[in-house]
Amino acid sequence: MNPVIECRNLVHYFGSKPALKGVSWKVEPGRVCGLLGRNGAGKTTTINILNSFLTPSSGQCLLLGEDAHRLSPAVKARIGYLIEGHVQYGFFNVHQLERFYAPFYEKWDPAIYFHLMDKLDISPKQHVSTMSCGQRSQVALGLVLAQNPDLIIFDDYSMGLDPGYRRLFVEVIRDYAADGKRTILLTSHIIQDLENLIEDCIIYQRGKVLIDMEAKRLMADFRKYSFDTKGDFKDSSDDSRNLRVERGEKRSAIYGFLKPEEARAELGKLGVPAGNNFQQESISLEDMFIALTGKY
Amino acid sequence: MFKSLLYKEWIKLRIYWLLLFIVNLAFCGFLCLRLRHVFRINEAMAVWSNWIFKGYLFYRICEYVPLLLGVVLGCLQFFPETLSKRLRLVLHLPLGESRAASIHLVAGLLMLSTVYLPGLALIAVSSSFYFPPDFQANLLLTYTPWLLGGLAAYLLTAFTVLEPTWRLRVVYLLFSAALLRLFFLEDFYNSYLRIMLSLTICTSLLFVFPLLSTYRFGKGYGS
Repeated sequence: MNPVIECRNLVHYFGSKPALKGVSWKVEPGRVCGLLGRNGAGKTTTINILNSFLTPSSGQCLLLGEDAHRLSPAVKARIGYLIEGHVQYGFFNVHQLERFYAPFYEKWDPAIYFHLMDKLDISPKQHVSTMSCGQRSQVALGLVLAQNPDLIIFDDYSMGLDPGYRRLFVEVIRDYAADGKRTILLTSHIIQDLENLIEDCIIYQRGKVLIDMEAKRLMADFRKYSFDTKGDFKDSSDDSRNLRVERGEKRSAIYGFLKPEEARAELGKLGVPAGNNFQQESISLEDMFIALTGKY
Repeated sequence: MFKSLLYKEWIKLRIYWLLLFIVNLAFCGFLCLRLRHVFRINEAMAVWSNWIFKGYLFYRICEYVPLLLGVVLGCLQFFPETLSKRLRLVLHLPLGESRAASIHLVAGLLMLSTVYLPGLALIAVSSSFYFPPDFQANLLLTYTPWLLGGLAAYLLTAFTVLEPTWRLRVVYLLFSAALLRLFFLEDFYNSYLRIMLSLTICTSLLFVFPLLSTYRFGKGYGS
């Protein structure tokens, strides 16, 4: 099967500053993919290129088999896009918004939208401009889902949302994607929310792809080993091998795609005494993200 | 889709449209009252002598009103679209970008025309009480370049506001000011009669300019 999204060697510069340095990845049909990265890593630049709101310096993006910069209306109708900040028309009320969007989409299903509005007790007469950020996010989400798109792109969906709305957002997306027929690409800075949602994980670091793999495999293979701090050594990292050593007051740690003996060997090579109590610790996706991309 | 976008623009602008409509109508009503007043306190012959034979243009006071209305409507319609890059919502709709932008412009031009026309009708009706039909025709032909100037101002405002970079916005602003000056170079009766067709074609061609800005906005120039 052809990938739903494919980025081929994307390069982009803002002035002389490189934002993307030859990024290539793809998302297969029916997958939920998280595009993660620190601020300025190139996520939004990529999303803007995918939505043809930015022309890359070189490289190409394909969406549902068409060049992202020459999407036909038929393909555009198959793509739902949630803009960063849940941007919607403030002058419309809930009912008017539905009336505006419905004629554009053949597979439009108003029940999905109104069900979500009912769930949040949002009246059809309520204007978007009078809604909280959380309510607005659900309106934007409801409109995207009502399109019944084959591909949905959520650009920083968690922006400005409290934990309750973030959870609701994730639950709605999970239910929607459960049939495995829709492909979803999302970006967020709240990594912990994505842990049980995403199936594939792409992590950017300074405009390059650092990680591109199944989330389950990442969770299983990327490990943290902690040990008592002993001797004199500093924090160190090797991005090419996704390896990081962090010195703590009492306990230090090594992170990487390593088995216990390999971790000990790496510490030996770096001249770090593994010390006592060398043990593997379970870590969250957020811990992994920080270990891979650095704290600062 | 056409109806949907018109519906959106109507909901967005209806209050502003009503305000502009009232302001224009009030202004035209004021002109009508003033016209009545002039004929009340002066001899009709003296007024005609001044206006018809000496070419005094009573309606000069409303020369820039259509222009102002065009600029205001252009700003009210398109400036909010550039905030938070809301224009992206439209550009993502499953229809061509130029088509979507064109429908917005058609909606704006329709609204602007409906603001202008009742005022124009009011002036035409009130002047019919005091002037012969030939003079009324002259009056409308004198007024037409100002209306075209208003429509051009609307299109050039859209062109400038939708441009994504500030540097080019300034260039477009200067270009627009220079171009609009052409509509207001002369203000005596029928001074634009010979070039009215050219002026109308020039105004029609301006429709393409905002499409260029929309294209540049959509492609992320200046981001």
